[in-house]
Amino acid sequence: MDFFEKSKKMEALVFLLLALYPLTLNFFFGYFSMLFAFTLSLFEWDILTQAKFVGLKNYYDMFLELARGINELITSPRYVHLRTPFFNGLKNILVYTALVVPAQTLLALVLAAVANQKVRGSHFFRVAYFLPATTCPVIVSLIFIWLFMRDGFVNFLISPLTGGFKPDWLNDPNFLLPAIAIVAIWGTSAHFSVTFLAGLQALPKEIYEAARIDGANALARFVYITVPLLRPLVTYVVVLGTIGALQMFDLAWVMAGASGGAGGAGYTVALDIYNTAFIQLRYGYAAAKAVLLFAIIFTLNYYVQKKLEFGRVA
Amino acid sequence: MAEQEGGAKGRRMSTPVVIAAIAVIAVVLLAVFFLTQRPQAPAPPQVTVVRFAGWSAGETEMKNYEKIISKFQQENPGIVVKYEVITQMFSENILASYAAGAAPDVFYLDSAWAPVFISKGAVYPVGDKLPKEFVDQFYPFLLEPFKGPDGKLYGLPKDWSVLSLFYNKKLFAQAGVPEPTEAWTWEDLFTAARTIYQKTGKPGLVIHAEFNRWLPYLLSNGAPPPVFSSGADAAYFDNTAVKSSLTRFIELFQQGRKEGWIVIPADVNAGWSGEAFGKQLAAMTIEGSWMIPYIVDQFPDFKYGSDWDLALIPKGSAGRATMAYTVALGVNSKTENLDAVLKFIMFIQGPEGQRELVVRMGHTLPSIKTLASDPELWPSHRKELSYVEKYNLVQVFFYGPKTGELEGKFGQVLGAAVKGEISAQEALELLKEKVAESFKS
Amino acid sequence: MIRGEEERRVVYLAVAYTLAVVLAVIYLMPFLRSIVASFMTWSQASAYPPEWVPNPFTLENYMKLFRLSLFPRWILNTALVSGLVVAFNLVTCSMAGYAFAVLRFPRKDLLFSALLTLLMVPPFVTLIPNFILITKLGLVDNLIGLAFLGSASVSGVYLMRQYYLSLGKELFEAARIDGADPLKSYLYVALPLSKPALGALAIYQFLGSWNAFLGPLVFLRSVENFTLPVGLNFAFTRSLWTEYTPIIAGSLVASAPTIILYVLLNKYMIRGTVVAARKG
Repeated sequence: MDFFEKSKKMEALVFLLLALYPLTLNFFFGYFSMLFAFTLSLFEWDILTQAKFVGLKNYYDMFLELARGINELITSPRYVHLRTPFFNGLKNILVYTALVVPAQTLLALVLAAVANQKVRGSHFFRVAYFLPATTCPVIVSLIFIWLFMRDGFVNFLISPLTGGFKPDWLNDPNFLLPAIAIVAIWGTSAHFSVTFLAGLQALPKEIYEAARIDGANALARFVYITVPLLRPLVTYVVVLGTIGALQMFDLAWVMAGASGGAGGAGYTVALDIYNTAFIQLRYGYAAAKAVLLFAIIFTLNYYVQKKLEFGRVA
Repeated sequence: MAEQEGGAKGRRMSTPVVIAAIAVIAVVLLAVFFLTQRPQAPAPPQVTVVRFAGWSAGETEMKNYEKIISKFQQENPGIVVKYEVITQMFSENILASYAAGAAPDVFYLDSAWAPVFISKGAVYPVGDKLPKEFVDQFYPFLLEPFKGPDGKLYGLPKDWSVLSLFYNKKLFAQAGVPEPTEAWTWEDLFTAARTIYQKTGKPGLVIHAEFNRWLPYLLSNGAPPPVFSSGADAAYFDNTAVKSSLTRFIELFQQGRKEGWIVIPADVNAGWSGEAFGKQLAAMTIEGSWMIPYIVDQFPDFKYGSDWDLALIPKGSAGRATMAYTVALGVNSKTENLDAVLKFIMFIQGPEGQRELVVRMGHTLPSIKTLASDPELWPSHRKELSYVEKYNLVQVFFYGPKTGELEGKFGQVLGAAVKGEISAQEALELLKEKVAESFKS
Repeated sequence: MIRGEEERRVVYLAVAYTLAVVLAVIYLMPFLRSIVASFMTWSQASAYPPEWVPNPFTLENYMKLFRLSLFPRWILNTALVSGLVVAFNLVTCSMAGYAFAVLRFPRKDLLFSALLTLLMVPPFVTLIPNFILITKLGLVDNLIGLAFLGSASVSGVYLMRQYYLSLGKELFEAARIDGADPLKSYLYVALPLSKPALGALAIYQFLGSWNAFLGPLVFLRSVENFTLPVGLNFAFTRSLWTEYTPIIAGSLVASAPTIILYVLLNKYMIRGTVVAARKG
C-alpha cells in the first residue's frame, strides 16, 4: 500500500513534468483567444471603436436568420444563398463534412495499406502518395481549377464512366461543392496516410500469423485485425478530419471566391465568419456565429469519440 | 527481487526524475529570459520612427519605395521610415493592429474603406495641416471619398486608375468593323460587338458582372450617382432612369450571352476580363488602367498601338461617364509623430515621389494634374489622362460608408441575373434588399 | 499445393500493383501538371483546351525565383522556424503524449479534452485576440516568437497519445509492475518503440511549419523576415493581379525539402526495431 501510493504520487509528478509545457503554452494562448472571442459575442464591435454590450442580440439575430433560411429553402431555394448566406454556409459545410471525412479516412487507410505491402517499389508508392500533402492549398486549388475545366483532365477520366456527360464542375452549383470536396480529399487522405503507415508498423506480427494459419485471407485479415487495432489512430484521423472540414476556408476562398461562387454552393461558415467580422465589421456577430460553429464541432467530436471509444480494444 | 527494487525506488526520487525537473525549470527560466528581451534596441531619442504600411506589388515596387525612402531620410535626418509590407488581407491586418493599439502611422487607405475609417475617427484630417497649394495639385474629383462628413480632408490620393474602353484592332479589322470614335454611343458598341461575333466567332465584349463596371452605362443614361448612407437609400433603385437603364442592360446581357456576343470572363475560361482581352478571346472590354501593365507583363507580344488601343467610353442619352479608383495614404489619428508623417506624405505624394513611384512604374496614373504631361509617362496612360476632360462625369468608386460590402453583395445579385437565374425585376428587388440589410444593425 | 500458392501470389501481385499504380496516377496527376506548368508561360498554362507540352519551354519562372534578392533569406528563415518547431515538438509532444496515454493523474481525461477543444475554435475570430496578445508580448515580426508559438502542437500531442494507446496498456502495465519508475519507462520502453510515430510527427510539424501562411502573414512585418510562402506571395502578387506561374514554380521548390525529409524518414519509420513485448 505504501509503495502503491508513493508510486501514484510519483506518477502524478512525472505527468506534470512531461505535460506542463504543452498545457500551459496552449491554454494560455488558446483560452485567452477563445474567451476573448466568446465574450465579445455579447457585444457589438466594429474593431475601431468601443464595443457596445448588447447581450444576446447577436444570437437572436443569428437564429432568426437560420429560421428564415429554412423557410427560404422550402419556398424559394434559388434565393437561399442571396438572402440568408449564413444558413447557406452552414448547410454547405455540413454536407461537405459528411462527404469528406469518411472518404478521406477510408482512402488514407487504403493508401497506407497498399504502400505497406512488401513488393518492389513500395518505397516509390509511399512517396508518391504523400506528395499531395506537401503542397500549399492555394497552389493546389489553382491547379485543380485548371483540371476541373469542362474539357479538362477530370472530365477526361470520368466521361467513359458516365457515358459522355461532362459536368461543368466550377460553374454548376450542383458540382462546385463536390469539386472542392475532391480537392480536399486528395490532399488530406495523402496527409493522413502517413499516420496509418506509422500505425501499421507497430502492429504485432503474431496475430497475423495465427490468422493466416487459421485460413483468413488478406481482406479478412485487414478488416478484422488491422482496422480494429488501429482504432485509436482512426479516431485521431476522424476527429482532426472533422474539425478541419467544418472549418474549411482556404479552398473555398480560392475555388469559389469570397461570395461562394456559382449559386453560393461554395460558401462556408468560415467564409461567412470572415465576411461578417472583416467586411461588415460586425465582430460580435461573427463571434456569435463562431460560438455556434464551435458548439457543432464540439458535439460532433464528442459523439465521434464516444462511438469509436478512444481507448483501446483487446 | 522485483518487490525489493520497487520498494527501494518508491522511497526516494530517482536521479532521472531530479535531472528532468532541473532541466524543465532551467528551460522555463531561459524562455522567460529570452522572451522578455526586446529584439531591437530602442531608437535613440532624437530620431523619430515613422511606420508605413502598404500592400505588396512585388519586388520592383518595394525597391522603388526603398529608393524614395532613403532619399527622404537623407533630406530629413532625424526621421527614420520603417516600411512594412502586408501581402494579403491588408484591411484585416490593419484592423487587427488598431485593436491591439499598434496601428502604423501611415498606411494605404482604399477609397472603399475610407468612409469607415473616417467615421470611426481612426484617421487624422491631414487637410487641416497641409498647405493649400499642395492640396490644389490634385484632381479635385479624387479628393471626394476622403472628405469626411465634416468637410475635412482625411487623405490625399497617392495615385489612381480610370475605366476606358479597350479594343482589339486585329479583330476589328478582321470583322471589317470601323474602330471606336468619339461619336460612339452605347448602341454603336453593342452593334459592333454583335457584328464582330458574327464575323469572327469571338465575343465582341467581355465585361465583369459588377456594379462598378456597369455604372458608366447607368450614369451616362441619366442615372444619378449612387450614394448609400442609410437603409432609405435603397430607393435609388426605384429611380426611373436607374430602373430603366439597369433593366435594359441586364436583359441585353442575358440575351447577348445566349447569342454569344457579350460574355463574362468565366464564360471564356478567363480569371478576369484583362486575361480574356490579353489572350484575345474577346474584342472589347471596359477595364481600368491596371490592365495595361498586366498586358505588358503577361502578354508582351500583344502591343499597344499596333495590336490594341483604348478609346473613350461611349456616350449615353445623358452624356459620357467613367469610373475612377484611387487609394490614399491615411494617417493614424493617434500617431505621435505628426510632423514627421506630414513631411513624409508631402515627399511621397508630391511630384518627386509620384514621378518615381507612379509615372515610371506605369501601374497607375499620377494623381497630380501637372504630371499628366510628364515625358516619362507611358503613352497609353498619357492617352487615358488626355481623355479625362472629355467625360461629363468622372465618378469615383465610392458609394458611401458601406461601399466595399455593398459592391460585393451587388456583384452576387448581378452575377445571378446575368446567368439568367433571376430576372431583371427580381434583381432590382434584391439590390434594394441588400442596401436595407447593410444598414440594419 | 505449391502451384496454387504461386498462382495466388501472381494474382495478388497483379492486383496490388494495378491498384497501386492507379492510385499513384490519380494522386500524382496535379503534381505532374504543376511541374509542366512551371515551365510554361501563363498564357499557355491557362490556355483552354489545356495543353501539356511547354511550348516555348521556358525556365523564366525559375529564373524569376532566383533573381529575387530575398529568396535565399526566406529559405533560411523558413528553415530556422521549421527546424525549431520540429525539434521542440519532438520533445514536448512525445513526453506529453506518453503522459496522457499511460500515466495516472486526477482528471487527466478532462484536461485532455480541454486541450483538444482548443482545436475546435473557428479561425479568424481568434485572429484579433492572438494579434493583441502577440503585440503586447512584443513578439510581432519575430521569427523566434513564431517558432515559440508552435512549439507544443496540440495535434502533435494527440497523435503521440493515440500512438501510445495503440501500443497497448499491457506493455506499460508490465513495466509498472516491474517497478520501473514512470520516467524510466518513458525513456527505455516507450521512446524506442515510437520511431514510426516520431517520424510521422516530424513530417507533420515540418510540413505545417514550412508551408504555413496565415500565421507568418499576420505576425511578420518586415520583408526580410518573411517565410517562403509569404515571400513568394509578396513577390508575385501585384496589387491588381497575380503572376501564377512563378508561384507554381516557387511552391515546387518549396515542397522539395519536405519531400526529401519524407524520403529520408521513410527508411527510419520501417518496422524492424519494433519488438512486440507482448505475451499472450
